[in-house]
Amino acid sequence: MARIPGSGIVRGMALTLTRFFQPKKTVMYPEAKPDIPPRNRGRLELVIDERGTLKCETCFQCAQACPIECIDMGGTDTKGRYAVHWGPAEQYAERREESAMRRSGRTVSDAAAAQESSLDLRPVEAALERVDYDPHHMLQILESVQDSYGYLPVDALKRISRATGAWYAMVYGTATFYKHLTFEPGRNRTIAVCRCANCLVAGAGRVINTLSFEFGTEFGQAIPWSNLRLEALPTHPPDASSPLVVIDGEPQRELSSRNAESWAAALAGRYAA
Amino acid sequence: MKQLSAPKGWSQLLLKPPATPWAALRAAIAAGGAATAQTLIDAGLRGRGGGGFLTGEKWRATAQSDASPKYAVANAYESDPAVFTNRLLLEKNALGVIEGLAIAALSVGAREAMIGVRAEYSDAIRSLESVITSAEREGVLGASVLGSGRELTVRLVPLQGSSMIGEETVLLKALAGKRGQPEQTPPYPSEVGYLGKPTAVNNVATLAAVSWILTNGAAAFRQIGDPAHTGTVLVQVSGSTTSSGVLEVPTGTPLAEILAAAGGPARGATIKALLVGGPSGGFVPAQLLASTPYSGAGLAAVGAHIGSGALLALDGSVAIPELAAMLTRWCADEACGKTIPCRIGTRRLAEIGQRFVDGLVGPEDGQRLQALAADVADSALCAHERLTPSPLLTGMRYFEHEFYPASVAQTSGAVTGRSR
Amino acid sequence: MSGAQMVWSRMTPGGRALAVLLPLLSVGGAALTALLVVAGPFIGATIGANLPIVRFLAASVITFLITVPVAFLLIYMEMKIIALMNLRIGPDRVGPAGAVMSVVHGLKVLMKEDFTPPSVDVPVFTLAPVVVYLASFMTIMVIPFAPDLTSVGLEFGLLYFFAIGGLGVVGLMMAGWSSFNKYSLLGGIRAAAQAISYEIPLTLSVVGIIILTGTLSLPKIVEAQSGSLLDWFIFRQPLAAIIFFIAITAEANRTPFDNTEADQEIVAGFATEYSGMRFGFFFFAEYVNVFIVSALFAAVFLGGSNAPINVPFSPEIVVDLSGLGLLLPIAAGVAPLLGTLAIGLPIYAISARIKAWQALLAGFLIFGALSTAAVGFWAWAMLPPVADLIWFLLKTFTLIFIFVWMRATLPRARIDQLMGFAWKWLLPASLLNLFVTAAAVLLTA
Repeated sequence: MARIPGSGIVRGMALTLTRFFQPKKTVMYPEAKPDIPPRNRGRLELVIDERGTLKCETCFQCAQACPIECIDMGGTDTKGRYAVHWGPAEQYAERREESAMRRSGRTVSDAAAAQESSLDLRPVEAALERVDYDPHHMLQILESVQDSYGYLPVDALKRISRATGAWYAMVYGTATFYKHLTFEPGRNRTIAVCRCANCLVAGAGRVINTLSFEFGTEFGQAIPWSNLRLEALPTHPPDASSPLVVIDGEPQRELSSRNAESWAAALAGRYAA
Repeated sequence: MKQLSAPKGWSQLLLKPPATPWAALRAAIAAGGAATAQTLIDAGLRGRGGGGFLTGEKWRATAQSDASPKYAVANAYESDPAVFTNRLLLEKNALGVIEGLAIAALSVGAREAMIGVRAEYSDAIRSLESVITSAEREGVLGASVLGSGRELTVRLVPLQGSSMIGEETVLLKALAGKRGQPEQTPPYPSEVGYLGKPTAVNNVATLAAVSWILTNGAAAFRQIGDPAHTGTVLVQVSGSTTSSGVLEVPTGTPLAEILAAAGGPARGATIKALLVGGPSGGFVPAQLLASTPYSGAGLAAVGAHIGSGALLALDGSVAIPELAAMLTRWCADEACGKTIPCRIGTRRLAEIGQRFVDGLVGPEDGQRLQALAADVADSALCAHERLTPSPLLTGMRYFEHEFYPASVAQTSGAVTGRSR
Repeated sequence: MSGAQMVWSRMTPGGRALAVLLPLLSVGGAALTALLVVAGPFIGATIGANLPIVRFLAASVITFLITVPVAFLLIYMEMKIIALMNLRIGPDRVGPAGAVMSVVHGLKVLMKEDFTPPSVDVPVFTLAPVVVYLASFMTIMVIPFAPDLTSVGLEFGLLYFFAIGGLGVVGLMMAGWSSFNKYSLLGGIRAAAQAISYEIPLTLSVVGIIILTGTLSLPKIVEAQSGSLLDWFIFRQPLAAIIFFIAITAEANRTPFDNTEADQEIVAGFATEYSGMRFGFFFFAEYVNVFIVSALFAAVFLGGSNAPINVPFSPEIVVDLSGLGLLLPIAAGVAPLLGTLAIGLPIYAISARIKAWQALLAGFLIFGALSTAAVGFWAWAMLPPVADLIWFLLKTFTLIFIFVWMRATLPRARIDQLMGFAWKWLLPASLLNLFVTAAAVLLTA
């Protein structure tokens, strides 16, 4: 409290008067731009990379993860064959399929479900019947579908979503997470290298490095211009030797920790040619 | 897939099917859920999946949860690719496991139980299926378990596609057909589990032990192993030992003794260290082997952990930095990607490890590694993230001379083929 | 296309504007001058015969007209000065330095939906802003802008001022009551209570001056302060000045006494249910009120239109235009053109980048500024009311600046603090001032 009544007021007003004459802090946008940290995200929007392509991959995971279901997404596949548009059901005309209602109570947007498909969906229906349209058996459904077609067609995923009531984003999310499910048709031959600790000690690292170097690819990715994939073996069969490489399901017997590098180079030579 | 013969004095409980099939189940039905949970608490049975919680407490919490229906899940998914302890257990003692699962389900009040097993374990799946089918035929499973009026179905779910499925919340999501990313705990699965309902998730080794405890009594189980962490654990010894395979080890056994039971070091090799716990395990150097007991607390004291139950013996030809870097790289690649510190932090850790290997280490890299490892462990949503820094941290703790070229011990670069 | 159309289509917008304006102004100016010359005496005679009525009409109209730009100016001043005191810039994009901002606000308020809530008391609701505005407007009539420039020089001007000013309270109560809204009612009641409480120190503090000057007439009070700087009542009645200042802050609902209309307090207080132009009316009336009370303070305490220093010299600038005869209208029309060209040509010649129309426009504006300044200076020197008016306005706007400055600085008083202050401090102080003044007068008589 001020000792002299009014002295507080006077001091305050003196301060504002001095401020009246001081230089102002306003940044005169757009003539001057403020100093923003380099990683500032600013306004949320889709970004384009330096080559001009959209970075968003329409993986639907943001829509699936959003706790208030406010994200709506649409996308077209790269060959322009079909469009997928999935958001919260209440934004669109709803469709209730009996099996979807019974199992999950979720309604499914009509617009996306209405697209015709040229694919024969009977295997999908069979897979769904086997699990009684229960979306909790999604892995089983997807594995059956993959066994029937050799890969997961998008039309099948849409049908699964529509019939079970699970969000497409959820189906897509499951399909993209597990490594044994694939979206690419055409049988891929895999060169699977085991990376367990035993194999690493026995020289699996050398095999991987040699193969990556020779094939010119990163471990875990497809080898360019071929139908080969270099990937990790999910589990090391109990009686197999270390290091272990399995090609098309056949463990390679000539590989041992002593000749790891030369064997890998020879293998690369056989396939790269 | 070998089971090594254990020295005298080591109790062997898990790998034999119970003498009288379904006796333990009968006993559990007669005693009731609460009493069964209490028996397990008295026996001091802790989860064998790495969490180490008292199984009885878990069951009691699940039973007392308000929501329904409840579920029981057996975790037979082995994240570590090299370890086949669960596989062996399922092939040899599927009956014990199913019995344990049935006891778990009835104790918590579940009507449906599931076993999540690796799809690659075809023999294990077959033996489980045959046990389930015969149990249903004999009236042990189904509408009325052993005539008690309680309903129970056991479902076998083969899973594959990610090594994260061994983590309990991830397993629950995979069983529900969702993306295999862990959930924040608490709330634990005993509150919010499969489909958001209370679920009792147990490792199959724990369930086999349950079956034994209810047959032979809690006191007998308490006698075995370390008092704080009672019972036996399935361990797989491999690497530079005379023989390699699965051993059933009472907890508290010193590591050196376990090594000796596997025949000791291979001819002409000297053990430099043991990698304890799998790809995200810790290195225990040779000098500590005799003094470190194989139990949760004992291993934590030296920076290691039980993990998947793997013991990999490393001899002098293995360069610790290279092995640590490759293990960290494996962990980073297997990460599910849910949390940023795991998705990116483990990758950075792997990069720092690789810099040590390539000799391109910068002056602050050591500190950066420690800080980053601390952050990754602190922010961990699941055990995978929490334990990923272990190889590099324990490697630097005990084998610092290998990480820094100042006093170089010549290694032949057995892991990557590069010598320094 | 005809030649004129071709030329028109090739011109820039600036050129087109000039092409229209210049002839219009010249012709218009010439016509007006001619009209004045021709019909002037007749118009003068008519006005002379009915001088009081005409004077009253003119005063009212002018008074009404000045309230509008004054309010706009005040709004702009408030925004700009508070911003500058807050180390920011305030409006600066609309018009030069944001000067057109008030106009924009005015237009915005006009364009909003004028909505009458269904359960209001419609006649009262509609009339409330009118009453508030009228109360302010009618008090302008007695403000002595200059010795000859008072709209209505009432003998009891000061009393009239306080009486009519108090009618504003009625308007606030009408607004609060008719809004059919608890909070508006509370706001209206509080506003009324505040206004009534501060009326007493307000009127009591000027009684001292009434004693000293013996009159209630505002022009005479201003005259009583002519002489020297120290004759101003702010030096002769300092306590009264302080009390009066605080009281008019409260009467005008300014910070720190703006409890009833502050957004953080009670939405918009009594004006909550008003929207669009009605709302604009309230705040328009409030800004006019601020101007009026500042003018009153300037008149009563700061010497009104008296200059603080007596200018030692008085330049005599006599411009005798009557000898020109018919040359006058021609000169009036031609002068702007010549002036524009005279100033525009050098500008055009300075730099090659300046276009013709830009040079002409600049010339026109500069000529306009110069001629206005010249006329203004002549008026200052030769027409006493102009100088007096300018002094008066300077003092008024200084007061307004102080009001705005207080708004930028001071926190708000709580309603009970505000009322307590009025009754417990200002009232006794004004009574004390009154007694001391009376005693001094008696003792020195």
